[in-house]
Amino acid sequence: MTVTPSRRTVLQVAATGAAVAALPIGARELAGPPAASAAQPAGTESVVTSVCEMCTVRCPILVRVRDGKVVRIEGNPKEKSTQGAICARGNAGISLLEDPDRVRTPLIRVGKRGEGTFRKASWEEAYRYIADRLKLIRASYGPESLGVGRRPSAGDTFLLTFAKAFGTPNIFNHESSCPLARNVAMHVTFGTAALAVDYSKLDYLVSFGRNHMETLAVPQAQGIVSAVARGARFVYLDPRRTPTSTAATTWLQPRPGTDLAFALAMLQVMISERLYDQDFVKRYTHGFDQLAAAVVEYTPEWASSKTGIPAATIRDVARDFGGARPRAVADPGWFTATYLNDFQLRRAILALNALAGNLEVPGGVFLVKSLLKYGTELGTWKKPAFPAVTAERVDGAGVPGRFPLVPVTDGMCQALPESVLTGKPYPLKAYIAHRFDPLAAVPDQPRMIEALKKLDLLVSVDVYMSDTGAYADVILPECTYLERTDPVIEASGLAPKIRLRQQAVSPQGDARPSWRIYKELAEAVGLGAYFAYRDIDEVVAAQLAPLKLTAAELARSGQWTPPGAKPTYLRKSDPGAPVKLKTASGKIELFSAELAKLGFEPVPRYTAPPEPPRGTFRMIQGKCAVHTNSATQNVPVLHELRPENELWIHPGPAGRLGIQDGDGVAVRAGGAEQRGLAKVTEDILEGTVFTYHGWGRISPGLTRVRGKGIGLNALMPITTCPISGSLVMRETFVEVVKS
Amino acid sequence: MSTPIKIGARHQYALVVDTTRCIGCEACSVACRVENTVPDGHWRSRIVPPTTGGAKVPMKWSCMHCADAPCVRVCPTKATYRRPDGIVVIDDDKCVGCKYCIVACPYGARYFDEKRGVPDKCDLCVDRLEAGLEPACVQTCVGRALALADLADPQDKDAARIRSGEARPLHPELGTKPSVYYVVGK
Repeated sequence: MTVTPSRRTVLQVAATGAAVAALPIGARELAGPPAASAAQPAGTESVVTSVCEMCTVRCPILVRVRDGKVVRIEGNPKEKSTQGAICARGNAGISLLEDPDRVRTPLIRVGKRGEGTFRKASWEEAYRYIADRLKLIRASYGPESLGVGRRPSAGDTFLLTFAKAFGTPNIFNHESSCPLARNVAMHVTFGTAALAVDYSKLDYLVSFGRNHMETLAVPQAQGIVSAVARGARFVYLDPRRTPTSTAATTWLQPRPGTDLAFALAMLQVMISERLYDQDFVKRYTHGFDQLAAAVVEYTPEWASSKTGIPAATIRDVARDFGGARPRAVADPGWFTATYLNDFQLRRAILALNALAGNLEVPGGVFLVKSLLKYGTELGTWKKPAFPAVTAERVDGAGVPGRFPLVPVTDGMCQALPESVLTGKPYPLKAYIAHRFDPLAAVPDQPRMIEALKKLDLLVSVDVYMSDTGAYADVILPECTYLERTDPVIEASGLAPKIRLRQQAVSPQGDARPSWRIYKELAEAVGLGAYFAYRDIDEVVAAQLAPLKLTAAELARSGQWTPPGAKPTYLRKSDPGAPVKLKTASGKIELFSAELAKLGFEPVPRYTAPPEPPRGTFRMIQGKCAVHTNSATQNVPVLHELRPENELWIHPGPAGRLGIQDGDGVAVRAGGAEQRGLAKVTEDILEGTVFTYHGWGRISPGLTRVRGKGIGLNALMPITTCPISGSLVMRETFVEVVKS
Repeated sequence: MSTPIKIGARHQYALVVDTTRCIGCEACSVACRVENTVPDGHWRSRIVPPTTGGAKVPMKWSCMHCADAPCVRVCPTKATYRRPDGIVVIDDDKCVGCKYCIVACPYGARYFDEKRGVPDKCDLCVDRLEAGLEPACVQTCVGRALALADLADPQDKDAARIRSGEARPLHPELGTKPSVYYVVGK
């Protein structure tokens, strides 16, 4: 609507409220740190700029605080890519904050592992308990017998510092259960995983199962919706009808695991019909001839026999994609722990982008413009040099002859059970899981349970008693993102950008922030020298020092871009402008000598996914828009929105099995069984069943979600891509019966 | 100090829901729930997801702020009334909790708030409007699918979508003259 002048003024003030220091907005005032807000008169509302942590996207937010309580969280309207929007999860932050199920005091286990029986402990006792055992383990087995796992987050640096100071190389995160295949493919092809899509400006998008509207990143979804409203075409491939099918201009339903055939045929058409950007290919790519030779056989007719999609449709998509270049993008994807052929699918997708010549032009793909590209970077607090690590990683990440292409900053979280249970290459004896729940994130849950039981020490640092927490010796309650300030977050895109997550309210109970937890734990282990900061303010100040910026300045609008840094496309005005890529050839590697040397296909070629044996279904999974992985199913408001997952099954096979919509079903694989409810729907292909990830939880501390729905990790084996180290989670076949 | 937006007969508010931009993410549902401290188990606004044979697109569903509202007609104490600016509200002090309005609403937009002892529903975040802010659902919408329109403003682009017939009410045959208008693609 068009607003009256007074209304417009009001809205603008409201929109920039946090930026306009001490300008009263009705009853609201800008708050500095919570110390200041605590001193406010009763009934006064303040707004704290911060960063969401309900998922990993980290949207900028405004937290409204009244009388020391969070009353509302809104998106920060200063951010152009979200315009003040946040998703259901972001809106529900307050529900996490106030959840009675949160762990609010350190807990030490008194029952058997998994029973979830703990006693309350003081922090000092909990630290001493952990430190005594860590010292003993280090003395007996070496520092490398400690493993740490975490969800990547702003507070990572404290756990990483602790692990490196302790002297272990065994640092894991969740990536191998999510985007690792894509990231490794990007490294091999573009020399970096910091490659992003300029969604709002593209004219044509092909998405191979990247379910933007459910696996929700608000800036991406909003960019796509705007592009489509402007007339952009959006072709979406998914065997299941999702909200993204609805948002797309064309939805195609390929047989599961055959997306690679579709992508290869697109390459074939683009090359044979010379639809690609020949100048770009000549100047910026390496190995075009080998790629062209490899895809000759992959005609749309051939791809049609694999995917079940008509050849004419595949040809049309390839031609339209070629016709829309350079503002045509093949989406690199996000969750790529799917099929064994996923790595080569990502390679083929990246090749499509190369043929479109869309690198560093508006509506294409771009290299993230970090602070470093502007000659500066965030500082850090002073600490001694870390001890040299001689032990090899247990997972073989970065190790010649094992998984040389897997970044050591990620590792492979699925390596834990093998190491603990077989002692190969050596056994991990202690594990610290920080906001990371291996039992909920990694397949072969029964074996993971055996491994966790065998550990000498298991520590969970979390907001909840997670499934892994129920098996822990000690649970350390981390406070939520609304109760702590974190290190500065780099959120760069077309221009460098940093954001600050600011504490909005005091921590509940005895919960503590991770900057404090690892500092105090390090002191208990005798590694305090590595944490020689007083508090988080000192850490943030040290980070900002090279930028000549203060925390107060950063907090004013919640985000900051270096003065003069504008959104930059390196090839916008000069299509031949130099673009530095950190590959061996310095170019986009359509052919990879590195892959050839390691014995892998140097150009993408087709391998078919295994087919379900008679009487079984392929089981696929995905995310819903109101939950994040396995982290939010117990958050009260989000739980209400979607309390349970269901098994999606087509009416054809459902009828043959006597299953009606809403019936109980048992899903069986590998001797394990999970029970849930059937959703009989034509929105899934006949031979495939689907369910959302994150249910089948076992922790007694998750009172709402425990025992509800189907847990996929109990059914899937651990299968690992030999190239990327990624888990393979869509090649499990299940029996379904009415229960 | 902020100037409250003018509310009264000079304005005529309506909500435009552009289903071609809605991604069904339920951000609006939760924003509403938190903003209005709606009790556990209840919602003033939800997304009805598309289903085979049903709606083809996600539909935001909340009070339709009908010009000829059955809830207003059946209320024995005039606790539920339509403001001059088109917003249908409830006066807690006048409400006797008879729940006639819950039964009368053909859109199923009301629930009974046990704690307050009154029926509750969307009020277009009237408190926010008076503070010069958009309704919470509009403010948080990921797809920018929601807009507050002022039908009394000839310059209002969103009101123009209603006047042109691009945005249409749900079930006009019920004759209640709703003030929530949906844009549905071809």
